[in-house]
Amino acid sequence: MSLFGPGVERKTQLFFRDDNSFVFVKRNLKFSCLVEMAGEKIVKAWKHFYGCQLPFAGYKNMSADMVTLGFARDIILDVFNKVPEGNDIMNKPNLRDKASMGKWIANIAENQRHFFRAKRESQVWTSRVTWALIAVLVIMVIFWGMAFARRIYAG
Amino acid sequence: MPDKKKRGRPPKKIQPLSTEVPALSAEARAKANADALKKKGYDDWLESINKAKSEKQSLEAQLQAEKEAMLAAQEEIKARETPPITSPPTEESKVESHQVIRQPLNKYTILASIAAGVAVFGFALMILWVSLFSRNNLIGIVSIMLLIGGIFAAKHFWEKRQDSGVLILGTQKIPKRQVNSMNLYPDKGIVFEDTTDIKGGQPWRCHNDGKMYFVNKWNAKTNRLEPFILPDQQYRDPEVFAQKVLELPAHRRIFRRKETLLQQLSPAMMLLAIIVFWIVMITTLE
Repeated sequence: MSLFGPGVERKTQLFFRDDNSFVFVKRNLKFSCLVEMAGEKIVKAWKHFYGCQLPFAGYKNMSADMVTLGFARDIILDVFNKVPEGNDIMNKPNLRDKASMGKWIANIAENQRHFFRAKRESQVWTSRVTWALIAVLVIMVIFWGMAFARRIYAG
Repeated sequence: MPDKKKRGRPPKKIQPLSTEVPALSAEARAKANADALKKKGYDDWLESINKAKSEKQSLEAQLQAEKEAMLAAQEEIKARETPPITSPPTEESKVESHQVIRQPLNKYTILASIAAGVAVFGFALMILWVSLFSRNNLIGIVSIMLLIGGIFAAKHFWEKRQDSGVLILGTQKIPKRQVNSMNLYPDKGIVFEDTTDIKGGQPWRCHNDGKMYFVNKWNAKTNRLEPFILPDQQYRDPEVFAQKVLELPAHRRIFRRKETLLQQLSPAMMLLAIIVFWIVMITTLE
């Protein structure tokens, strides 16, 4: 839950780095993927499957959550082969079939295309700045009104 | 004389030795028959007793089954007649095998709380400025900055906090002491625990606490833990997947909402309005 509206959904990822280290990290959940963002742009993404989550009861400062495994080199880490193989977006591609990967990627891209088409950007950054400035102006007007009224009442 | 001798008893013939058991005498045979009959009677008697016992047991089992069936039927009727429980269960009736593990506050939650406190202080200072220190503009500027800065900082830290607020139900307790391994199980999930009987594997550094842990994975075939090794598979690079597949830059460019001239100028116009109003405030409140 965010202070302003529903906010961003976040899930815990157990992320294995290439340098023999790991980290429990919270990542934003966007387009069925755990994403790493720089501002508004998605920099890296790992596919999130509900079937691939592992329960974690917590340890030290690492909080309890359903955790998805991930690593630096690839978008899917299914250690116990829980996700079935297939070309649909709810499956993982079959690595033995060369065409499977291409079809799977094409299906995801097609899904994204429909998503962007149906849900166009409702706000641009200029309108956000404008709304923030309007809020500042409203606060100023309120306090100016209060002070002005107090002065008239006192006078 | 010699005739007499002839007429006399013939000489006894020597019987050859036989290996056969000599036949029993009539008395012995009678005794053996009596023993056999006695034994047969005993067996018959024993058999009849066993038979009677088994019959009794089966009868008792049948009676018990009938009794249980009758009791179950009675309880079912009783349950139908009793009203449903509407009151919440008492403390004693709660199942104690599940316990709730609560996560402690982490630094982001505390920082978000501090930032919210700063915002509240800014708001209070603003009220004081309006009512008491309206001639001192510095206090006004500081109060507005504290309010806005506090709100944005609280939002930032609230979103960044690591605590998921998830409560895991189960008998598993979070170990507070230092352990040497992080084990991955298909059913139990991720468990930090001590493991001593696993050969091989390299320690991994955990960035969350800076300690080293052996990472092991459960092998369902051998029913044993084994050192975890990352696979060499290659579906897609996460960066390429994000920027080329998820973002679809060309499509986003096509579908992007175009800004009107008014929208482009609106921030500058609002900024101008704030400056003008600030001058009006200063002039009218002095």
